[in-house]
Amino acid sequence: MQSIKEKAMWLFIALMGAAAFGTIALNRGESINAVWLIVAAMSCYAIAYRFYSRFIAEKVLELNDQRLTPAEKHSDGLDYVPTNKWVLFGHHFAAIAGAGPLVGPVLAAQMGYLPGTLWLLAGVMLAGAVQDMIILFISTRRDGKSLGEMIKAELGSVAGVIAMIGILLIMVILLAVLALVVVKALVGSPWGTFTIAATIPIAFFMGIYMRYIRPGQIAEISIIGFVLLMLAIVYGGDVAQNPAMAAMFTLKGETLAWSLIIYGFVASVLPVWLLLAPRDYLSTFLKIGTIVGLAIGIIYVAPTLKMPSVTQFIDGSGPVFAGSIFPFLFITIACGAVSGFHALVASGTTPKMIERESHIRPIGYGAMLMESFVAVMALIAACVLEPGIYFAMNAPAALIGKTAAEAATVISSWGYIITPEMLTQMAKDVGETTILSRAGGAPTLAVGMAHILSQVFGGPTAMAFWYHFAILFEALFILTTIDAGTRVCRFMIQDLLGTFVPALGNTQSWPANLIATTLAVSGWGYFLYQGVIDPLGGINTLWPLFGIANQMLAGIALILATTVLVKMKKQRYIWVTLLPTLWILVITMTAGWHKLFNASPKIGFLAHADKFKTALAQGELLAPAKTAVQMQQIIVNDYVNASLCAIFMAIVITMLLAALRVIHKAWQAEHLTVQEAELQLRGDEAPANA
Amino acid sequence: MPKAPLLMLAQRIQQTFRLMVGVQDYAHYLAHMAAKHPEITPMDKKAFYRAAIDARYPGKSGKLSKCPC
Repeated sequence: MQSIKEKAMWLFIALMGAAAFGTIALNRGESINAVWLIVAAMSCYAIAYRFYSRFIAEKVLELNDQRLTPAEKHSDGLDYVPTNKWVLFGHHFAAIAGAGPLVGPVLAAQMGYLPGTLWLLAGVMLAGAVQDMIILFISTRRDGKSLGEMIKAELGSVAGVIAMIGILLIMVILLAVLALVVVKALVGSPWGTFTIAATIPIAFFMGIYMRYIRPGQIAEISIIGFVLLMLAIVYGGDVAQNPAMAAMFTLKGETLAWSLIIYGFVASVLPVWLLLAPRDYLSTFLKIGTIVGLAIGIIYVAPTLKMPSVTQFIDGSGPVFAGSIFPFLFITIACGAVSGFHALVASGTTPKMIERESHIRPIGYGAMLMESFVAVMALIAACVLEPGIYFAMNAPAALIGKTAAEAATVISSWGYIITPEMLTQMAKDVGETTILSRAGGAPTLAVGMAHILSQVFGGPTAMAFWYHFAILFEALFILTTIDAGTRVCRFMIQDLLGTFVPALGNTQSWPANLIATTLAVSGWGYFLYQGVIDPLGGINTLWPLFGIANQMLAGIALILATTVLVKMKKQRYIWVTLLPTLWILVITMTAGWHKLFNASPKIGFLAHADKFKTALAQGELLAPAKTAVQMQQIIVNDYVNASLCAIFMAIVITMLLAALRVIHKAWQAEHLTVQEAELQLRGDEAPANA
Repeated sequence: MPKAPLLMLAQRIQQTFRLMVGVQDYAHYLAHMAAKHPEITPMDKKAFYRAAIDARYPGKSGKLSKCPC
């Protein structure tokens, strides 16, 4: 009886999903309701979780609840703590969900909502969630070892060092691209700039309060901080109205870039409790709250998707990022479908808190499904806007001009009818002077969120508040990441330098600390500044590079997972990780190849360098360069970007070769070659525990 | 004695939010220390909380406790 009921329920879910997909895919030319996307996504997640993750848990990994987890074996009340499944799920989700799933899908919306949705769903079910779950499993079986340590142990120490360099380079690109998102959102926006600046004194106050006045009262101080933030948003509106104040907080891109670079340097040498920890509390809770709010908003408002399901830009001529749907859609949406960074998180604190092996399934696979859902919501928020507004916000000034009239003409000529009045009205509604060319995802998402949330709460007059709330939420998160990320880079650089000059590896030494911090900040600062002055908006160049890097890390993690499956003598099921590995390798290598050698200067770095070289030889100047020296600088930038891209590709190939050797040996071996931590079964514990 | 389900839920929610920012359950830590290391004086609440901050953010090992993207 039970099984018939259950079968009927799953049949119903499958039919719902099929109906939703039918509506999404077949209803060409008519706009559909966003709820269909939610239904399609939910059905996919439910089916994938119930059937595929169970198959992986039971057949492929053979999760064993009788086996003691590291949390039980090494229980210390601090790092290794057996933690309730739901509590740990919340922790893990908060640790993997960042700004990435909110940016990529918004950029990918230029191709319509269908390609992005399909990749988000297929990607998460077959690649992203599989990666997170298996890496969490591998790390749990190895006492919570980190990805770097596991690569060293399983693939050899050379592979370990190469992976470490790869991670450092990805961090550099990531920090640059995230900082660029903030710059794009704050250029010429006194309201936004004021609220973000106000978060610094608010965080200081919270930090001191938590350190000396009421230590550990997290809920209390977070609520105080939240109220102060909301006041900063409200007061920011007055700042924007006041001409003298507005002038003070109206900054150019270059000024913002330098401010962020200096901020990154100072923030990352301050003690963590003063700025980083309070910021982190605010951004973590704000993020969870916003995600919940957005989900409720979308379901309650049930907005219509105004973006077509597929646009003409799938051919690669899109204004937001250049390159055709294959491979560029698949690297533009990384987080939400598959994200390499999750392999670092899944081998971080979570495996040390797993209470039972069977919890790896909901925490590893389940949390990633939820992140994918966040990405689907971001895609919806971008697609409920008039396509004309979307393109005005995301296309660079070099294409659409600098005035509303020019932008409206160009965008209408693409087939997305929009009037200059609509553009100025939207800017006015959200309390900005202009919304043109604000690429980078955050502002578009903010307008989309404002559009949805103002219908739930506050009406049209609340648009400006919700817009700046969304900008604040993303910028707060990103600034926390810049602080923490610069620290990570600093320690990695010190680690690397320390092998040559031991004095530089001393993390207690101030000079060594400052040298490494300077190197870290100059690394991402260089790419940030290059992006800010790029007439095509910078996101165009840097986001694909970041996408390639992040997917490369996913490729490395999946290669590791495949190797471990073979060592476990699970060759029968090798396709579970091998297929996503191959797909990720194909898209990263193809995208990398295009970024290097594509003949179009819009896509290929080398073609772009050639174009500038030819112009320079003929004595011409191309925008944004105003002097021959700047022309030279752009050519150098192209070569730096091209080299970085080539390094990423070389790292992937090296890891693959290293893995193939190990896999071959393990395949030949007649017994298990897997090196897990010692097996201890439940009931075998020391009698003191009984 | 079993706790009231509502109280239990509230505690779990509090625990979840605190763990999201890297702060473990202090009561659990005390219980662990009392059971396993009765000879050691456990950290007080303040020290425990400071240790949580030190453990969460990037340190010598270049630890990354949160996805940056």
